[in-house]
Amino acid sequence: MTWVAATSRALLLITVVACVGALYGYPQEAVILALLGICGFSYHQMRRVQLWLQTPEQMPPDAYGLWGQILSRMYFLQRNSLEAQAQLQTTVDSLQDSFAAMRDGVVMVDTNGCIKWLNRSLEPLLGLRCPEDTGQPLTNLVRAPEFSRYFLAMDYSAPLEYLASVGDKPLYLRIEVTPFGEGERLLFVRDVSNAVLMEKMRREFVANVSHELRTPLTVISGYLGTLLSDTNAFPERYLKAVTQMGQQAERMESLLKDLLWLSRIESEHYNTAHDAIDVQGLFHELRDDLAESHPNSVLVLEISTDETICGNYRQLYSAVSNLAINAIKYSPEGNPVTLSWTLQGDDLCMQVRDRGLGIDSSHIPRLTERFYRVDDSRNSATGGTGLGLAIVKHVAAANDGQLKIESKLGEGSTFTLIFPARG
Amino acid sequence: MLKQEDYGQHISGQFNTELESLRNQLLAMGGQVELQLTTALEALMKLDSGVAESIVRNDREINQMEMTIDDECATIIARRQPTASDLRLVITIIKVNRDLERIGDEAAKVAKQAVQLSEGGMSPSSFVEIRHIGALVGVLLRQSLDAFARLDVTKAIEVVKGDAEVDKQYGSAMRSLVTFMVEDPRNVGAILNEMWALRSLERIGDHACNIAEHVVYLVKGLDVRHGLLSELGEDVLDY
Repeated sequence: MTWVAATSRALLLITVVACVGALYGYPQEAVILALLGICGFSYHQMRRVQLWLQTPEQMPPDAYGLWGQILSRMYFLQRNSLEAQAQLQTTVDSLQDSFAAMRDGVVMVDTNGCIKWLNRSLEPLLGLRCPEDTGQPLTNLVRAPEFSRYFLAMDYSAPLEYLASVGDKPLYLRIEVTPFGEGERLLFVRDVSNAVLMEKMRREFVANVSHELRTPLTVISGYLGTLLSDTNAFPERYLKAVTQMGQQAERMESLLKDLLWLSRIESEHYNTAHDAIDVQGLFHELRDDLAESHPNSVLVLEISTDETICGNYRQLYSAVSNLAINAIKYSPEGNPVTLSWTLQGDDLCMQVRDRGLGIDSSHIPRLTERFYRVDDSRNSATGGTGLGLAIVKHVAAANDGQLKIESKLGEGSTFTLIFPARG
Repeated sequence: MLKQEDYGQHISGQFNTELESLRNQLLAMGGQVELQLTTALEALMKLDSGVAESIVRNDREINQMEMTIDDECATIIARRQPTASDLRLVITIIKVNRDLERIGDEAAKVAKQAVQLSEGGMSPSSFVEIRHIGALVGVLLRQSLDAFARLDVTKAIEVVKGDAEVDKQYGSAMRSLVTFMVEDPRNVGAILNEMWALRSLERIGDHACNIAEHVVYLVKGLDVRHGLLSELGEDVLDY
């Protein structure tokens, strides 16, 4: 509307001036004069706008007509964008403040691996200084080779835990990396020393307790053995009690043995003796041993590959023998148990298969927990320690393998240890 | 004076990348050397002879890194003819490279003593001195590399002062070890091993100090070797 008004006003001015000019006999000159006037007015306004734009924070100058409209519109837009910017800045600030206040260390790293932003908590963890270290390549300041390898490999599916020595005492750090944007990464650094130490204490505690309990137990079961060896000289009414004591002492001994074995596998996790294992020989040794301890069992060996794996022989033997004994225990007498060693694609599978009772699928996820029992009544009948599958799982983990359990109630179970084939 | 932002100022982007990658490689090697020292010290504390393998593997890796870095420095000098601060950077990298490699060797020597001690049994000193000096030297090495990464002259001066402290501690440790030897000649073997390990640690301190001096040269263009830095002290910041 103002556009129309401004144009008509200019036209009116030109017409009036032209009429007046015509009265005096100079119509063209009068029109030129009017146009020059309008031009001059426009230039004057433009100059005022230009002057104002140099310091746009100030109120715009008063202007007439169209120019006034343009100026107020510009002022309005500019104020809006300033407000939006301030709002955005507050959001960014409060986000950064919340990261800065975190007790965990947070680093933002750009595509080239340079630090973009970091918080103060990193000083005691990684020795990074905030904010001076912004712009530095992260691996130049955190030089532990373990960290560099993890960080540069770009595979962040699992967090990294490593022993860092920044201050006076070594720290166990857990690093979690989240990639975002285009090649940018967000790192969370947490001190997990306490958790690691607790875990270590727990392991050592179990091992120590088992060890300490074994000595008195050996004495008790030794004397019980002596008493039971000469039952004639023993009063009849105590015989049953003492026999049971002997059985329970034996059970306790095997429990302690398993506990010790388990904690040893756990602590050997990092320095397992790795020699090539002849699986065929292992199966044969197992069959000979089981023929003695379980004379009624039928063991079928299926060996279809002569691949070997790297690992600890003692540990793997105990795992397979645990699986085989379980299979024998939970199958009707005389049912065959199959041990097989096959190459399936890239995986080597060591399998123990039975056609026994089977396990309900609801129990399978918890089966490898220590002392977990499918059915309490099974306990007394079979006399296991409840640690067998826990041992199997830990052996698998210590030898770069996994344990897979498949089972159907009433149709039997298959336990498979899967190892990567050596390429 | 050289600042962090001064890198990345070249017209040739390739040259920037080359210099930056050289710096990164050197510091990665520094990380490897730091690990070597920590492993060796831990082996000594626990009298663990099982680390020998990892020490040897690590040492080979460090040597390989040294050769790669040297080779790249030569290539840069030949192809780019760097001047001023770029030239100082390349020269510094060549020197620090050599110092780091020597530190790796000394750490390997410490591990060697650890293996020998683990066969001969515990020394009567129970390694109080080594534990102490080892921790000091580890911090010095880390600080000197940090100073190089951050171009931080203040930190470099601290390292030089720290090395003077290590030398003092080394002297008194030697005296106390000699006392042990005099007390019971049966200990001489173990104590000698310990002295060798201490000697290596002291050398590592000196090399860390050298690195710090190279950092001052890189940033200030001022050669402060042979005690000049401790003479100048904080005044070096004004140059």
